[in-house]
Amino acid sequence: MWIKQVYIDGFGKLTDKSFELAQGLNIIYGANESGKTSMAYLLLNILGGKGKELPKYNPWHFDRFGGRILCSNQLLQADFNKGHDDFPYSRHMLEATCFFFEQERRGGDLVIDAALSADIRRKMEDTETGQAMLDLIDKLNAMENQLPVSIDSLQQRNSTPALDIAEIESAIVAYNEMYQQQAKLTQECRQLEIDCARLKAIYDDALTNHCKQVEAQIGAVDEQRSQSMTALAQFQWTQKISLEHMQRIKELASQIEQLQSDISHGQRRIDDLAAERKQLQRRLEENFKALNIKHMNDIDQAYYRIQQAETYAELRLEHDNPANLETLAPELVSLFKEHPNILEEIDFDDAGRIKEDASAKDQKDPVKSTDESPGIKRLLNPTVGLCGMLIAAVSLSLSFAVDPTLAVWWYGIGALFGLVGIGVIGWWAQDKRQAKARQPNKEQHATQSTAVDLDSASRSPLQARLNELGIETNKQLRRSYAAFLNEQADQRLKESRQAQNREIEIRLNQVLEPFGIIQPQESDVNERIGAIKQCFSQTHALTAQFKSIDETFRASQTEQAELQTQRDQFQSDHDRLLAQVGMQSHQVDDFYRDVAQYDRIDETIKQFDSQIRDLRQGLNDQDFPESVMAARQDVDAAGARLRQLGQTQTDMINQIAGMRKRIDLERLKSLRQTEESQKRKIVKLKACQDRIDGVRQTIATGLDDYIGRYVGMFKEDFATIYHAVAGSGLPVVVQDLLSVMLRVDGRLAKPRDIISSAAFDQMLFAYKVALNRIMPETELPLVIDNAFILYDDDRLQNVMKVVTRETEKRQVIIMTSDRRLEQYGDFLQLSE
Amino acid sequence: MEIVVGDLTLFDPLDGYASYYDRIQDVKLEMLHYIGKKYPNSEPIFYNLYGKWALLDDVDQLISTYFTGFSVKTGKSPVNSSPVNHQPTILVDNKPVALDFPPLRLIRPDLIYDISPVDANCVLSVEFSTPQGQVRHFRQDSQLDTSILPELADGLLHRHMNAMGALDTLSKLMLERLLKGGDICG
Repeated sequence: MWIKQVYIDGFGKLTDKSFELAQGLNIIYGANESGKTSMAYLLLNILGGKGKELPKYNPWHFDRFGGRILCSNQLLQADFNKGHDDFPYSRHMLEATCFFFEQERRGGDLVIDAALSADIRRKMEDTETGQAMLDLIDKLNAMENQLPVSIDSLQQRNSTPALDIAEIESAIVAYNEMYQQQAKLTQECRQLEIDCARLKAIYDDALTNHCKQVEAQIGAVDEQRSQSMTALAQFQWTQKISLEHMQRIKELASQIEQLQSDISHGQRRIDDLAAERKQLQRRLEENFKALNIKHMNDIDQAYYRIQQAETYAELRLEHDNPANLETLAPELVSLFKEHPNILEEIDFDDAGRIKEDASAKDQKDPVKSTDESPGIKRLLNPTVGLCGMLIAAVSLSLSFAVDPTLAVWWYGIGALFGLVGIGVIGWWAQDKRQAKARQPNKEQHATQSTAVDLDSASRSPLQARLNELGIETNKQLRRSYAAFLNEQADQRLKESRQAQNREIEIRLNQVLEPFGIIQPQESDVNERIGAIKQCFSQTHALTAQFKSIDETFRASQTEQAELQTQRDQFQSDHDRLLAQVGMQSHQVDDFYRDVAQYDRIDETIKQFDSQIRDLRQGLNDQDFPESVMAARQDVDAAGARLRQLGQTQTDMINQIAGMRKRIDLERLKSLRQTEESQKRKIVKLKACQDRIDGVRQTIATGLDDYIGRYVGMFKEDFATIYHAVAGSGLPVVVQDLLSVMLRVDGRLAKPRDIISSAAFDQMLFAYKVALNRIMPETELPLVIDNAFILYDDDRLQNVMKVVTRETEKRQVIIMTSDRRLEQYGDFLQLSE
Repeated sequence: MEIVVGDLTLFDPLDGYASYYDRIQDVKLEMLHYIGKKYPNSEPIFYNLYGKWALLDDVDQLISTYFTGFSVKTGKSPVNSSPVNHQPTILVDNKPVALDFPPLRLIRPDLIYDISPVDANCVLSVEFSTPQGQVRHFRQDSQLDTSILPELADGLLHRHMNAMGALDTLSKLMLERLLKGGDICG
């Protein structure tokens, strides 16, 4: 930048002035107090801002306070009355490097402030090298922020291939598992195929054997059937005969046979009956002989005789029935005979008298008990007996008039009633006799009672005797005495009966004589009569039996005759029908035998056919035995299992094919490479992350080293310029903030303390020029306000050489009141 | 003759060497071919045959091209027949036999200067910077895969930054890339 024109509105004593400036060296001449310093400060205040000196340069006669600078690249103007803060350059930098005032020699040390040092450092950083280092640091800082993001991003991006890899690897594992399963299944299928073949062979063998057995059975049955057919042919002729006729013939034959059987049976029965009849007849004859009869019709006579014999025997027995006298002792009987009134004579004085009297009262009439049976007594009358006899007579009459088989019964009934009648009449007669016998006893008893009462004097001896005979009570006495009286009565009755018995005995003998019993012993009579009676009963029973058998015999004979007639009729029909069918009778049985044989063979053949049909049907229907069916079920089960496994295998193969398509090994390799590459990149990034601080520190150190080089440059330029101006060198040491120290006797000292003012002024010039060379804005004009006024000619010439070289880099404006500078350029007159 | 081949792990991805997957498998198959030629009509027993990426049917079919028959057993292998970073050994009638087969060496050295004299069948996996002269030296060897070798050019600021001498190789590489305007994070 260089200043083309300066227009001063009002600044100090300068008013409304303008100067045209050149790009190189400009020397503005002005006498003292002509406004050189004012113009220099005007430029300083316009370029670098207001300074503390500004109030001193308030215009004296004008209101306007400021001016304008037309630079090569811009127009700068300032109105200090209004005040503005828009200044393009740093006042410190301008004062340090571009403005050199005469008053500065009285200033402080050769040092720059921190702001200027920062500017200088910034200038170093703005260089290509500094900028590159700063860029590196910036990049490292950016990297420090970016690396975690990049690592995360890479890790996230790497998760995608990792997932894809895991997916494909899982697919490979699944594929291999499926392949192993499929291989196992294939092995299982092969084993199952072997098993199937084995089971099929077993089944085929079983089926073949079964079929052979069935065929053998069929053959055997067929053979039997053929034999049966041959046999059947022998009996084929029976089929030509009318079965209806043969059936009738058969029925007739059967009926004839049945009749013949019945006839035979009847004949046997007749024979049996005849034999039995004959035997009965023989026995009857024997009994007839015993009963002394010649015909069974005479049996009633025998019956009558037996009844008579029984009656007589019974009557005899009744008369012979002795009284129960043996119970009384003979002494007692004689005593009772001696004392007919003993009951009155004896009166035992014992305790049981009342009773004994009562009992004695009972004993008074020993027959009273019989009198007190009026019912029975009423029956014992001749009328009842006669009625019985009448009924007997009627019954016997009927026995001969009715059926012989019933005659026996009527005969028996008649005999029974006859006996009853006889018995009743006999009983009645006996009762009458007893009644007559009891009448005198009563009378005697009354007499004896009176006698006992009269003979009371002899009562004691008699009593003693009775006691000796065992009678001690009245009861015993009366009982014994009653027995005595009965015995007496019986004795009399017995005598009466004995006469009757003799007559009965005679009649009994007469009756028994026809039976061959002559003068039987009394003891044998009843037995003999019993025997005859038994013989009669037997004969009677035999007679009834004979009659029954005879009747049966005759009926059988009649029935037999009827059967024979019927048989003859059937036989006739049978023979007639046989003649019709042209057969002999002996052929009938053969026919039916042959028919039966034919039917049997035909049935057998049908059974054979049925068997053959069933066997073939069994084969056709596959009705195999359990073993064959079990083998077949095994084959079917194995086949079903094999088909199922085959289907499963097919499905598995399809699945494997589908799974295989999803396995892209090339993609897997690519993904793996990508994954590894990214993993390595992540590792590298993490390594870079770990190294960022170190690299940044290294770069910062390098940058500091680089920036530190301006000190050397400054030191070199400062020494060169100072030497060029002063013509000699100084032991200069440059410290921080470009503080210039002089090494004197091994120690550092401030220049103003040890050198002259002129030397210090030259050192200050060299300091500013050298500083300008290392400053960023090295092209700013160098403004020198009468600074060389005290320089001698040599030093002025030296410094002007430096200034002339400086004009090659920047514009130089020198304000001076020194005429010696005219040789270095045209003067611009400050004052007119 | 009973031959036992173990730990071949066909089609198994080797960690860190995904780029050499095909080459690794080729070496293993070449070794199987070698065994098949050396022991014809043999039916070897394989232990640990299938790798992580092996498809069983493919492997079985592949093995069938080298041998008339074979069997695969599980359990710990009695011998290591892998030709990767190992001299392959098999059991022949229960006796270990070292095969005359060049193994594949996969090397990832920490420093390029650690590389020992290169074998006939060797893969170097190098991903760090190395001087250009060294790179040129390895590139002359055709057996060496140096395609991923990065070059560390003379840095722009080397003459200005004495401190760079203290940086490790990766830091230098990082700095180099930064100076070249390369993207570290990308």
